[in-house]
Amino acid sequence: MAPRELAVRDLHAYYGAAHILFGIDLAVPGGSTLALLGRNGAGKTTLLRSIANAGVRTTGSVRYGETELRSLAPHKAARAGLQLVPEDRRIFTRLTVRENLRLAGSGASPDRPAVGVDRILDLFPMLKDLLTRPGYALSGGEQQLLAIARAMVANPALLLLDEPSEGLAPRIVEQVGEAVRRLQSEFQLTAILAEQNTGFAVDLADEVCVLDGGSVVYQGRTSEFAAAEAVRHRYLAV
Amino acid sequence: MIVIATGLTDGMLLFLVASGLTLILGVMGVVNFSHGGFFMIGAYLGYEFLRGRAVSTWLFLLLIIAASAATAVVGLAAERVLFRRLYRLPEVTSLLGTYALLLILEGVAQLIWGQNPVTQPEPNGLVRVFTLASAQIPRYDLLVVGAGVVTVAGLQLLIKRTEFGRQLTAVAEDRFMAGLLGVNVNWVFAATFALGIFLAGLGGTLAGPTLSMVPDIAVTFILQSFAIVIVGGFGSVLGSLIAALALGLLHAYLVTYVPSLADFSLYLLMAAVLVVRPQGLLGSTALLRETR
Repeated sequence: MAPRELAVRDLHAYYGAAHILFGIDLAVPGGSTLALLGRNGAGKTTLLRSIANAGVRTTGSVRYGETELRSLAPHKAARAGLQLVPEDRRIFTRLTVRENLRLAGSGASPDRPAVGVDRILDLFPMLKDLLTRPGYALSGGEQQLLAIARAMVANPALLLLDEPSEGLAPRIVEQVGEAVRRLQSEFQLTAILAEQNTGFAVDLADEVCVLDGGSVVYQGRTSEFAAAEAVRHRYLAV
Repeated sequence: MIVIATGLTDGMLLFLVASGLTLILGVMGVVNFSHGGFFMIGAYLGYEFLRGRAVSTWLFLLLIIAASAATAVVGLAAERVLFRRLYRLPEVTSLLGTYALLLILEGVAQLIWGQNPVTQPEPNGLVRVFTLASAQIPRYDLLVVGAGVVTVAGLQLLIKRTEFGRQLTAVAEDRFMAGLLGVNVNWVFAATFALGIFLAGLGGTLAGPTLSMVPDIAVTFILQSFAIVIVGGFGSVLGSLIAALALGLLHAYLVTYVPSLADFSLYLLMAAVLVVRPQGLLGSTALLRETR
């Protein structure tokens, strides 16, 4: 099935009494990748978790094609084609690499059957030698690659990656970038890549969205973003 | 030899109850005080299914499995009505909630079966003893130990080799991420709870012929089972097995050779293990933190 558009309308998000996102409107065309940029605390992680309906109280609308994701429990959202790779990777430490990968088959949807672990290993060859290693014995870079590979086993149509380059050495960041590129060419995906590493994200994206203080302050094509010097200076410069 | 046989039998009965308790604690993070109540319900249901009659060994086995399954059905109802509401609440709330359920189960048992002890005879064919190394060992002990061995092997296969086992391990460690990956966490909770209560019921039905049944056995067994879970390590089935067998053997030894200390065997074992390994024999200090 072809990837569909993700449409976020007037999305507000709350942790307890704290109001975090303020009326987000966002559209990601089917099959494209959006770089979600912003400083620490801008609301990137909360937006991804709100889209996945993962532990955030929200109002508004999050539609993937015809499906309203806000009404779905996380496991049902996964079966509707959504996968979120969280910032802290959350590898199951007591399962091996192979078991982590096989577990994700639970999230495949009837119209997008699970991808075989062997095919995923062709895309992430560095995991081939680690299959019997338990999650707790992996380095940060290995964990990140496994987290992305694990999400892809479910053959998602909508992939949300939260800070995949965070805390990784430059050489490993390059490997993660190559892995994402391979996924974009091999799978039909709509993707959001939340990043503080602007260059890394923009290189991989078709569109850019900048968040600040829980609101969208910029959205445009990657080519236009290159010229938006004022936006970069005001909202992204450290 | 008789000390070893008695110790292994008592230990296996304790293990059956404690293994369910440790599964529920490890996966859901709920300290289930009502577990002893389900053990007691299992014992009484076994008595009802067998109607207090001595039957053939095969019919006995069939009926104790049916009684354990019936106990699991009662457990599933409790999971839907009570436990599902406890998973996200603080420990003190789940302690109070499950203790209340223990009292309710005891009350229900008193209403149905009264306070007078009832007894369940052993199956025909397992009444007699057999001789091993000049010791007279009850044949029924073999059945209990065999059931324990089959349970250990079955649980290990289930947890290590099946899709459900992977899901159970993942949910125990990080239910949030398991849900994001598509695991139906509520279903895993319900299935784990039913399995745990089935094991409590199995312990109860197998213990039936070894004790005189009164509703109070619920409390006696839950205290010992908690000690086993603590000594074995939270969430570790193998740890529970080792701790239960150690307690059974220690108690049988002390009863025979140092009777004045026999009542303290539970505390002696806890003190000896926890001084050296506060997390229990095979426990991880991270487990409880991770299941929160």
